[in-house]
Amino acid sequence: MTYFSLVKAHKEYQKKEIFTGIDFSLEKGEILSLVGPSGTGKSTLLRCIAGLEQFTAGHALLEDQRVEHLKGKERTVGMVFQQPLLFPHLTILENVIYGLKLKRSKREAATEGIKYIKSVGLEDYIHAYPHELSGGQQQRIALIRALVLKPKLLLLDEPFSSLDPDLRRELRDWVRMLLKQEKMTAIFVTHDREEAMLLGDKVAVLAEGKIQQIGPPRQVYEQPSNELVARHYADVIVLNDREYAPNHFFVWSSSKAAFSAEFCVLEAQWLNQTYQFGESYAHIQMTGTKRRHIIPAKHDLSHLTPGKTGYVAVNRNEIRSFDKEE
Amino acid sequence: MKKTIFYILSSLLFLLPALMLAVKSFTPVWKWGEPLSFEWTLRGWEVFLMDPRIYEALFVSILIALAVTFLNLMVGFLTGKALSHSVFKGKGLLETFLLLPLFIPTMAAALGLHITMIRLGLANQWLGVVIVHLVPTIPYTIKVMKAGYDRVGSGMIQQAKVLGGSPFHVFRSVELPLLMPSVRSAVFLTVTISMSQYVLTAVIGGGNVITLPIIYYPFLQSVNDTVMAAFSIAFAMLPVIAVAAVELLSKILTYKGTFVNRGVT
Repeated sequence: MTYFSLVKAHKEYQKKEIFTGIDFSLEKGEILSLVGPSGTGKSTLLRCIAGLEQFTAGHALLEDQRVEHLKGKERTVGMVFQQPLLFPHLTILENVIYGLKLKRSKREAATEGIKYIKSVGLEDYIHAYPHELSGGQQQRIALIRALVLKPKLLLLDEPFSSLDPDLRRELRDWVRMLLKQEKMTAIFVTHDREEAMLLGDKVAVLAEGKIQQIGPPRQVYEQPSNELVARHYADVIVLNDREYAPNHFFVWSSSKAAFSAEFCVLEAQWLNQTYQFGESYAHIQMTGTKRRHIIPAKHDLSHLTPGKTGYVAVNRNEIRSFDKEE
Repeated sequence: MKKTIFYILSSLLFLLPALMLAVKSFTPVWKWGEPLSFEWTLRGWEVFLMDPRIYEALFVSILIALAVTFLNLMVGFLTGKALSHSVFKGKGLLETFLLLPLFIPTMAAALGLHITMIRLGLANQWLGVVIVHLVPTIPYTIKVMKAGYDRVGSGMIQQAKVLGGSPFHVFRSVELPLLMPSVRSAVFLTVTISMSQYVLTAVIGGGNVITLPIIYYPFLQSVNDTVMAAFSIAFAMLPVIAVAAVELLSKILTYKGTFVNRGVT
């Protein structure tokens, strides 16, 4: 039996289709990362599941029960937003137990709340007000404020997007640990694919109003099912609407003559060179598609001027075609 | 530096005149050319407090002002929230439309409304006066409350909802406390405006509804500064009383630290 599923979810806003025919299911304790370009309705999808907006058609089932219409104390879906949204007039403890107090006695709620605050190492701030906390601390409190209610499904809408990169890195590992420890079923929305891989047991790519592909992070990365997935989630260069090749098989050269007939050669412009993990990488822009890509560069090519036209090539053996199984 | 300037200006422009008024209400009228004398008198307050209509007028004024405030806040909360947090067609137009009462001359509105009030049987009654006082107050309240909701943002309210709060609980525990600054401004504006209405009260009240301005204005024609000063002070106290009443009510309504909750764990 599936734990959570979305059935033919469809949303229109002012006659404009935002997403359509969204179907997927989650097992208990599974975390799904939802990636995709901004403006594709990832947040809207979460808001509909949480009941803050209505699906135009379709519905969400949690343990065979419709969830998006549940109100007040009946709610079983929790949500963490981009901003911490702590209530500024309440102390940290009061913030954390805001929802719990409605279900249990104040004393029980406080005991539980303090336990959670301690577990995230913020016990010094129990009676402080939100403005005394840093952004990362606030987001941690926002997260336990949702977790303390023990929701059956937790929705996270880019919870790290308002934090600086170092803090994000630290916080996302911690969030995954916490979610796993609580055996929480969660849907995590992000536009950062590294984050999606780190947090998700499964990854779904949402683009142009549809789930383009769903599967384990590695599988989606290595076998993108179409051009949209390839562009947003995988490191591949799309050759045409059927074929692609992974970036790391490409080679740069200033002259076309350097490549034998075994290679598929494309014109590209040199942009820059960067170094990471002891390797050097060339940043290039394809002349045909105008898309920017990063490919390995074995030699020091820093003498090249940005904008110089050259060629990238890939051995024809490495060219793959998109799965057309749908 | 800034603080010093603030204190100097506020004492010069606000505290000093207020103090002068208080002193004035206890000293007899001084005419130009008379030798300076310092005598104290209670005559100003006597005249004011001995007027048989004064207590009724005070009561009626506060009653009307509070009723107007209550209606204003009801409309203000709902309309302000709708204008701030929802998206719908013709929102800009509606916002302008709601401001229009401020641009119609009071006299024109009053005379037009008078006929309607007579038809509805509300003329010459305090309820009629309450309704007509909504004309110059509601546009301000809506503006203030909309600004308040803009400041709070819809995220905070949605967050409270997701945590399981019912609409009323969310209102008491999140919206009301966060909107208190706006509520205070709205109450102060409303009470002061309602209490300064002479024309609207006179026309719709028809001389039957005696509020403080109705007594106050005829007094203005007298040249007795002492009485006027006493009157003005009493007048200025009314909004303070009304604001205190609303403050108390909001304390009771607010979820956190309520009287209802005290001692209950």
